[in-house]
Amino acid sequence: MAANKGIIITLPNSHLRAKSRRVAIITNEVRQIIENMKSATLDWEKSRPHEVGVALAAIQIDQPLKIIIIRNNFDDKKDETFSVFINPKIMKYEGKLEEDFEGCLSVLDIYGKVPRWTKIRMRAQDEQGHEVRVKADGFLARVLQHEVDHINGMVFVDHIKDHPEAFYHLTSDGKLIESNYEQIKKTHILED
Amino acid sequence: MSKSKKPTSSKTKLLFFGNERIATAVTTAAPTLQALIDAGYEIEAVVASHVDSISRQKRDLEIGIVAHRHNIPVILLGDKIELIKKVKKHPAEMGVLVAFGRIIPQGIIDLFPKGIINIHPSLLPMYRGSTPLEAAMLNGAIETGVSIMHLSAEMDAGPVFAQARVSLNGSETKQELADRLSDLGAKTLVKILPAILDGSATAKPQDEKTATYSQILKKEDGILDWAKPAQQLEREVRAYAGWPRSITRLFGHKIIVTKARVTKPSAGDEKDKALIMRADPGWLEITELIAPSGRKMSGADFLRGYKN
Repeated sequence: MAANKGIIITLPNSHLRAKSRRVAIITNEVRQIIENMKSATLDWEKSRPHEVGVALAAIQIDQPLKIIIIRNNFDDKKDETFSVFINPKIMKYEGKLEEDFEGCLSVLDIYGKVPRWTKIRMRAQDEQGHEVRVKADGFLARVLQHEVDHINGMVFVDHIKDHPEAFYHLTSDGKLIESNYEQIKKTHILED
Repeated sequence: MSKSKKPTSSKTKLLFFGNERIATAVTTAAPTLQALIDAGYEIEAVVASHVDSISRQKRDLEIGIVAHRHNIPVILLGDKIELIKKVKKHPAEMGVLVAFGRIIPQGIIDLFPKGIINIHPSLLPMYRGSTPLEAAMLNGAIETGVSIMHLSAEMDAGPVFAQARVSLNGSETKQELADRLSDLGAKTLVKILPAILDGSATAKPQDEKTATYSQILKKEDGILDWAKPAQQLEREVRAYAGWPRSITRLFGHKIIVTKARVTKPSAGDEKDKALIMRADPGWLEITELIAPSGRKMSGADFLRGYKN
């Protein structure tokens, strides 16, 4: 398993639509997967001048385990540290639904205006297996919802697949412009 | 998850007020809303007056159709307090207002960091008020236009960013003029809007001394007064088309005049064939009318059928 150095899989790879397994014991193998997730995110980012890799779920390097990593600083690429959450579960959705842009390392160049709850409460374990509770709002709340979706076999495009106007794509000069929905459909990323 | 370094779109958010019916009883293709969408602005919502949306013709508001096509929510007017609440739910950089039909309270203007921009279909400070097209037609103006102005709480008195002109030949219908001014207004607005948004456009205060006002039309304005000059009556027929319409009584029948022209009565047979009315001064030929039966017909046909 650890032989997988962390190649990011992308849609329409059907593994992204599968549910991940619970991590029972934090083995060395699990720790290796976490390291691979971090390096995969940072590697991906190197070739993406206009984006920051802010989080990753294990399934995105084809490991169907309930592990997510969250960048500690969403705006500074030089900060290469992450927080790790194992077996995360969102306990409560609060605030209101708000739309904002999000992208995914597994969905190249496409951004979507996705409705997410503005506040959430999450439970998980940290890398040492200790129980942690997270209360998040704003962009962090969005990121956590996006990653926990991955664990449940859901990708952000699934939330907006019936809303052509919610699709944007990133141009080579870093602008987000409205996408041609029909073309996106042809890439089969919207199908299960 | 990835984040684009510019996480929010570069689109400026606008809130649209009005139904774009810039004169009484005209239709519109909502060119301003469409032009703003085409120019890449994000329209957060369209606020339209409730009264117009249940117009007596039961026509759907054109603005609503355009909004629906682009998934823009439509807010219908309730009372003032409710409107503020509703508008607050759709925060936007600026409001754009075209033919709203009501005075906007300062409290709503203040909700927008860049205020509200209004397209008024006249060359302000001429023809402030609710019926600028009708007023220009009734006055026999040879020129009118559109003004792009910053909305203030006083009616149509805000400083003007830009104007564009059209010339009138004295035979245009109200619908034709409305279409021309709507398109011109949309074009002029889209052209100057970036400069207004980045603060580089300057607005000139209006000269209060030369301000004129167009009047709210009443139903009885439509009754043709044959003691008026023929030319004036001809202008009324065009300006009042659709509503309040030009009404008169002929041979005991109430008719609605839809087309007329100033004429001179000629001698002989022709005089009896055409429906020519004496005005003061001058003569008005009624060339088309709606008979009491509800049928549209020429003045000559009416003469044949209804005289005696």
